[in-house]
Amino acid sequence: MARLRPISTIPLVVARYLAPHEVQVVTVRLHPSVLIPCLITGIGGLLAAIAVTPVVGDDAALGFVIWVFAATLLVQLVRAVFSWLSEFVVITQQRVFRCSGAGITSSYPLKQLDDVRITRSPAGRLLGFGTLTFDSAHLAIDNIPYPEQVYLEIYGLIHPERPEDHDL
Amino acid sequence: MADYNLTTALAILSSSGYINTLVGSVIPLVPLVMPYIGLLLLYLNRIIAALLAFAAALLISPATVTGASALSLMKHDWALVTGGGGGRQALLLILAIPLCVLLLIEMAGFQFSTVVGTVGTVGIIATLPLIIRLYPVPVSNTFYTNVLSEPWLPAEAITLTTHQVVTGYVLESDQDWFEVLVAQDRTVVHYHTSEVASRALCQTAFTESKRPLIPLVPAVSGFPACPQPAPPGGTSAPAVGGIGTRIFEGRAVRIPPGLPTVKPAQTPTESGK
Repeated sequence: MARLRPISTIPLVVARYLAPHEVQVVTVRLHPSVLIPCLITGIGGLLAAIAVTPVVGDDAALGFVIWVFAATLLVQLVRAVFSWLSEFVVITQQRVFRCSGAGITSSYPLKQLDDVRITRSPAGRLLGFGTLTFDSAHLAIDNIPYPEQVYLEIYGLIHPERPEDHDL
Repeated sequence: MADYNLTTALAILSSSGYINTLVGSVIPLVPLVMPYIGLLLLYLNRIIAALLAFAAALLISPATVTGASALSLMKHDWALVTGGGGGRQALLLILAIPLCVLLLIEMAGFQFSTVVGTVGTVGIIATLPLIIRLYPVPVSNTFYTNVLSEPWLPAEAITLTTHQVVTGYVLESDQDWFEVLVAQDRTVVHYHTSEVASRALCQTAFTESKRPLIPLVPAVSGFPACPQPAPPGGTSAPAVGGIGTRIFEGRAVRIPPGLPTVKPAQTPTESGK
C-alpha cells in the first residue's frame, strides 16, 4: 500500500494551529459521504414539498409551513457543505487533531494513542472511506478518506522503525 | 374551569389536590396535540418516542374521519401526487432517482438511527397535509377555552329531593356530604346526602368528541345529555343550595345538618348573577 506523501500546501485553517516545530504528516478533509444524510433530507424535503403541493390545495398557511420546512432543510445542506469544506483531520508527528473555522474541535497527543485500527462498512468499501478507531483514547473518527493510507501513516508514527529491525 | 373565580379555584384545589387539578386540566389537550408531538419527536430524531406518540395518536386522538375513510383519503392524495403535468412528473423523477441512490448508500453504510432520522424528516413533510386533515389543529381560542374550562370529572345530573336537577361535577363525597361544582355558574356547593335523591352520569354538549382512527372499543350510545338550565322562572332551574348547603363565593363551607342554611337567592353569589 502506497504511503501518503505530505502535501506541500497546508490549508490556512490548519496552518493556523500548527506549532513552528510541528510537521504535518497527513491533512485530509472528511469523505464527502458525511454529507449524505443532509443531502437526503435536502433533496427529499424538496421532493416531498413539490409532491404534496397539489394535496395542500388552497390552504396557503399549510403550504407556507411545508415550503419553509423544506427551505430549512436546504439551508442545513448548504451549511453542512460549508462546514465540510472548512473541516480537516490533521496528523502531525506529535498529535492528531480535528480543526475547522471554529477552532480545534478535538486533539489527542500521539503518545496517548497506543493502537489504531480501521473498519470499513459496505458503503465505505464502495465509496472509499472508513473509520479510524483509537481504542486507548476511546476515539473514533468516521468518514476518513483513503483509510488504509492514513492508517499506515498513523501506525508508522505510533510504531516507528527501529534500526535493529533492518539488521535482522 | 373556575371561571376566573379565585375562591372557586381554591375550593377545587383543596378538594382535588394540586396534582389532580394540574394534570386534569392538561390531559384533555394531550390527545389533540399527540400527532404533532410525534412529528416533533421525529424531527428531533427520537425515533422510539415518536413511534409511541404516533401509536398513541391512532388510539386516542380524535380523528375527523374513520379508518376506512382515511385510506380513501390517502388514495385520493396519492392520485394527486402522481398526477399533474409532464414537467412536474419529470422534476419529481429527477429528484427521486438520486434520493433513492443516496438512501441505498445510507442504508449500507450508516447507522440505523441515522437512516430512520433522515427518512423521518422527509416523512414529516410528506405526511403533514394528511395529518393536518385527520387531526386538525383547532385555531379558534374558543375551542381551547372550552377544553380548559371543562372539568376532567364526569358531569352528573344530580336530582335533589326537591325534584330539582343540578348539573355539576362531584369534587368530593363522603357518607354525609357531596361537594359539587355546579356546571352552570361554577360555584361550589355542598349537599347533604339526605338531599340527593339520585345521581346519573350525563354528557355535556362539548364533551361529545370524535372517535380515534383505531377505536379500541366499539361505539356506544353514550350517556344522556345533561339537562339544560331552565329559563328564569322555570321550574327546573339548577338548584343551588338547599338543606345543609351554604355558599360563600364558591368557597366550600360545610355546615352540619340541623343548622340554618342560606337560601340560594339570598346568597351574595346568587344575587350577583
